[in-house]
Amino acid sequence: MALFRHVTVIAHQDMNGMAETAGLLARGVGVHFEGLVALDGVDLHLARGEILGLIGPNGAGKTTLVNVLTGFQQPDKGAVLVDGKDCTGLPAHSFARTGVLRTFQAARLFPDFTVRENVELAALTTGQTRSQASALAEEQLDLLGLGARADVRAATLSYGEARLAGIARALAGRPRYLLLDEPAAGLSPREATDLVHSISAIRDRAGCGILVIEHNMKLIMDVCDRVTVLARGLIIATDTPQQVQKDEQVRLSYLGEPDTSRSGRVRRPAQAGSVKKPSEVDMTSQTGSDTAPLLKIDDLSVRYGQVRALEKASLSVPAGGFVSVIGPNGAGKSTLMAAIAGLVAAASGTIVFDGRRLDTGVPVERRVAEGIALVPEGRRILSNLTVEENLRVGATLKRHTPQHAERLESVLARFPILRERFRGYAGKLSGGEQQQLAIARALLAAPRLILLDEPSLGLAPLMIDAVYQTLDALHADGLSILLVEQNASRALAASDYAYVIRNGSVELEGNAANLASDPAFERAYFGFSSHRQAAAASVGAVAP
Amino acid sequence: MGLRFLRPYLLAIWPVVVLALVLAMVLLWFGEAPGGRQRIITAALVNLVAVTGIYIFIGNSGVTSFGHVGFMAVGAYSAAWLTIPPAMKASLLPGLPAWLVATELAPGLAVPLAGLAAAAVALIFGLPLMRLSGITASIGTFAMLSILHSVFANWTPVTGGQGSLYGMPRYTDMQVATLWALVAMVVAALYQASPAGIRLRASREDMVAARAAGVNVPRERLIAFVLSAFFVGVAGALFAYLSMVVVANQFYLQLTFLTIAMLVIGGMRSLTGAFVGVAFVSILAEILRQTERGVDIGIISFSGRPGLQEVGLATAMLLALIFRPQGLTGGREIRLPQLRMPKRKSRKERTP
Amino acid sequence: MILLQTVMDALNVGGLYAMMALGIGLIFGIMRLINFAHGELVMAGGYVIWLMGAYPEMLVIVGSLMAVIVLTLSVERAAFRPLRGSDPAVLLVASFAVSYFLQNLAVLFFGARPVAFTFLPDLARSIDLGGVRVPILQLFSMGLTVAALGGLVLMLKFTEIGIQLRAVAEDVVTARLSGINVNRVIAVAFVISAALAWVVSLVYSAQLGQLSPSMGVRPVVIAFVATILGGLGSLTGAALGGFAVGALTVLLDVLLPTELRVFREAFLFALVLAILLLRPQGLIRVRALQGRV
Repeated sequence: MALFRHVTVIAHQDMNGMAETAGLLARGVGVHFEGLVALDGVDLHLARGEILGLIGPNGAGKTTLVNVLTGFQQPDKGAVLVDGKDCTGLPAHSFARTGVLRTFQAARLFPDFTVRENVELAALTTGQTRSQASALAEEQLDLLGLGARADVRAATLSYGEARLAGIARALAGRPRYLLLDEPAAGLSPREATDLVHSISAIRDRAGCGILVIEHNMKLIMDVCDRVTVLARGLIIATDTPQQVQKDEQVRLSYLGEPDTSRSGRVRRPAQAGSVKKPSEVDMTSQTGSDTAPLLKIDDLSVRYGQVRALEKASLSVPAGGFVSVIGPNGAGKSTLMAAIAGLVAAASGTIVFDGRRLDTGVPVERRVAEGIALVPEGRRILSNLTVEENLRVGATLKRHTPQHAERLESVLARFPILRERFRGYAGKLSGGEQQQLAIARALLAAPRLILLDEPSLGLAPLMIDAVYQTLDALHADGLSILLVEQNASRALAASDYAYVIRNGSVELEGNAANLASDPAFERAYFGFSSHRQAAAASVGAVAP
Repeated sequence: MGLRFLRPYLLAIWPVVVLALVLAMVLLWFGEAPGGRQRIITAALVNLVAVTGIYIFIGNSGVTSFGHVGFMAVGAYSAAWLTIPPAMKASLLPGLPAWLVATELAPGLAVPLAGLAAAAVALIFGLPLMRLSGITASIGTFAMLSILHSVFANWTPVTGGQGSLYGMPRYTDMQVATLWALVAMVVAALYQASPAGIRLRASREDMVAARAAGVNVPRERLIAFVLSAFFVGVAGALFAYLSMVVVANQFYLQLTFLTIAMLVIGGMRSLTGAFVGVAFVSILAEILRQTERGVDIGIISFSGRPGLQEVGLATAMLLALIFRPQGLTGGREIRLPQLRMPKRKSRKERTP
Repeated sequence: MILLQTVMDALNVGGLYAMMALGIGLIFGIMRLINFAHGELVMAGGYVIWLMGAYPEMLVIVGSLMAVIVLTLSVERAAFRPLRGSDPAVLLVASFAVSYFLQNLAVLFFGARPVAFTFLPDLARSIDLGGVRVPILQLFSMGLTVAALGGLVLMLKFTEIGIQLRAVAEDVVTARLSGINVNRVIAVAFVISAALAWVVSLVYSAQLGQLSPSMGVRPVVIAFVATILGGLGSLTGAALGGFAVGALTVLLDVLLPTELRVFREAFLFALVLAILLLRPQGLIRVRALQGRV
């Protein structure tokens, strides 16, 4: 709808002017938690038939704002209006009945219900009869392409299907306003493109207003009429997507400069013909020499009940190497990390670390002692302990070695913010700082191999720069690194060698530089094969 | 259209049909059995009413309630108050209001009224309690149980306090108990297939998503809570008319454990589970009870000891929790035999 | 004079409940398990002391402490370890089952009737402190409580194992990834909890003067109330909650008119309900049970 592309007036002014009764409105909304201000006088206006994007760094308050708009969080000041009716303070189910429905990043289907029953439920709560609910569910399922899967248990759906089912469920509630929470998270770029079409189609068909919360700038650019930017509890811009991307303040606080997304390291030049399918690989292809790799994984398979999380995956990390494993969400990356660290048992296959086999019997604590340290997904730190105590925990096994004091000093030198906040509670650190603490904690175990699970997850581009610079420095110091990422461009730019994993199996591998420009890789992962488009996407495609 | 509407309810009733057949067989088998045997069966059937009632709440809401035995107490005492002859009441329970003293009803009428009394108590406690979630809700129900127990055990002028309350007729026999068990199971099946039941089950699966989809969780829980209290209260009344005596201490931790054990062992998430749990535990208890008295198997003689029954039950419960936390039924209901039905084509397949 | 007596009583009872609450709170913090069977540890301690009555006193003390610790670790290994990571409601039901099991095991071995408890009869004597008659037992138990509490706090804050305990209590996975031996930490928590239970069994049995299989039920229920009052997951809260409940129990005895005194339990649990509804995190702030959308 071209109409909205020309709207640059901020919603706030609308409200002072005419009596704006239509729309989902947040007016001067403020929320604070135990002294921390999450939202500080936020205004937002979502009109019927409009697609509005909501972007901003993590910790900006996006989730809180969505919770306020759907009744899960009561604002401490300000109001929420739905088509003129003051709904502030009403419980979540009232919002749903008034026509404000949402999806969740993790789909959150009812696991023991069938997909159909999931979708029907939303109709049964919003005042429709059984047969109406049934018909509506059928319609939504067909439109979203889930017709064939309608009568299976929701727990068995794949990640992408579950995502769609969540949307179908929200649609069955006949929303006037639909809030989509990071709908593209974990989807491959090709699936994300399909999603763009779906969202537009939903808007055209249902005429509802749609709010899209996302980190994926490409999606935002393609689908939104307007974009509003939230940072540190305040709206800093509301405009068309193009304008917002150029906005100085937005760049500074969230997007970062496109040119600084490259790491400073000199990259090894591309080698001829070194992108291979797993069947073509021979053991010496990576290092070019015949020294045994530090970590070698052969035909590793992991099952969770019936689900095959990892299927005959093989990879190796040479001593001093920097290897990345990339793939979409649900591909098996975290499972791989968990298996190496010892958190899950392998069904078959071998893991050999420094010549020693790590079988199921070897517990996590022993692997840490051997020199493997995992920085888990979501930067799990101990928020009820101080920074000092967190580090002390990390050094559990190596505290009494003579090098410990030196190690602690070098870690604090590398992450000065930790020295600053040494006696403070770890829970009070920001996302980026917590990631640094997580890495510092792993380093204090004096590892020879450090595993990182999605280090860029949920961080603003600026913070991701900092993290990858740290990794570069560590690599230069001789530490072996294995990391898994959805964020392909960053990982490829930083590492020497990479594996592409999908649905539990390794599909491609090769030198990182080559992979980045190989059409086979682009096709499989990006969904289109123009090199230029890939480069453009790498600036914006900061997948959470 | 009419048939389409009824279909989910008919589907839901199927397990009850099967279980009713089982009950009918039990009735026939033990119809001529000696009185003692019949009493044991009747007691098990009363437990079935209670556990079905508890299941209506726990199974659908996912909230483990430790308080339902309190409703049994309400039902039992209501049954007592409504049927003990006025003369006895006047002397035993000086604290009772005059209209209650004067009332003397037939037990058949008193039983459902006792259920209603329990439902009323559930409504009062439930209004605040159903707003709690997770483990705080469970703790809250435990607090409710303790309050009720404390009141019943100590309000001597009204309840007889620590002593036993006599004077009730023997009304509960196998037929009556079976009838109420059937009613409870049918209502349970119909409820869980109804939109209200479905909404509550959704909140059990994922509370946040359910709220976001429009489910008023406290209200749905309250409905289940009150409905379940009715049947648990009925069970309490039936119990009073079976043992002909009401003692406050009967309705506290021991019985709570027993009923929860039955539900957990059978499977908390299905009606069939409630039935299977009651059956299993009753049979197990009976076997252990025989052992307590001493049993001769050939030349080996086991002489039992008091406490063995309970130890056996606790062990069974722990084993169930560790090895089969979903219970013997795995949370599933008895299914209709699979009929080959033509697969409904999706719209895409239908239009050329 | 009466006031002082009341205060002493309240402190005494409070101290006992505080230790019970600490024993429960420690395990809850680590495993999200509300250990109903804690009361049976108290009961077991009492019976072991009774069984060993003929032996010299030091031996009895050491022996009974060992027995309680062994019992605790066995229960953890057999019943709680297999259930680690389960729903808190399942864990609650399981601990209920263990409690029932142990109670009736005692019935099996010792019979349901109470037996007299006469260990360290000197403790029952009283001394005169400025006009107030104080049983040595009260001083003894108060002293023990303060020592236990103080020791616990110091241990948690400053020792290696204390920090590991707190780490495991917050996030087991992170603790493991740092090389912490979680099984060992959990065992330590249970041992400390057992030691606390043992102290209570000594004092409580002496106060009651007799043992019975179900003697642990009331303390554990009260301790439960104390933990709720203080906030599940907070150790300071548990201790303070214990004192508060002790004070409340004594206060209710004094303040309530005679007719209502019997309903003390009802009032106590009504208070629990009120707290659950109005301030579920307890009187002390703690982050343990926050849910998130």
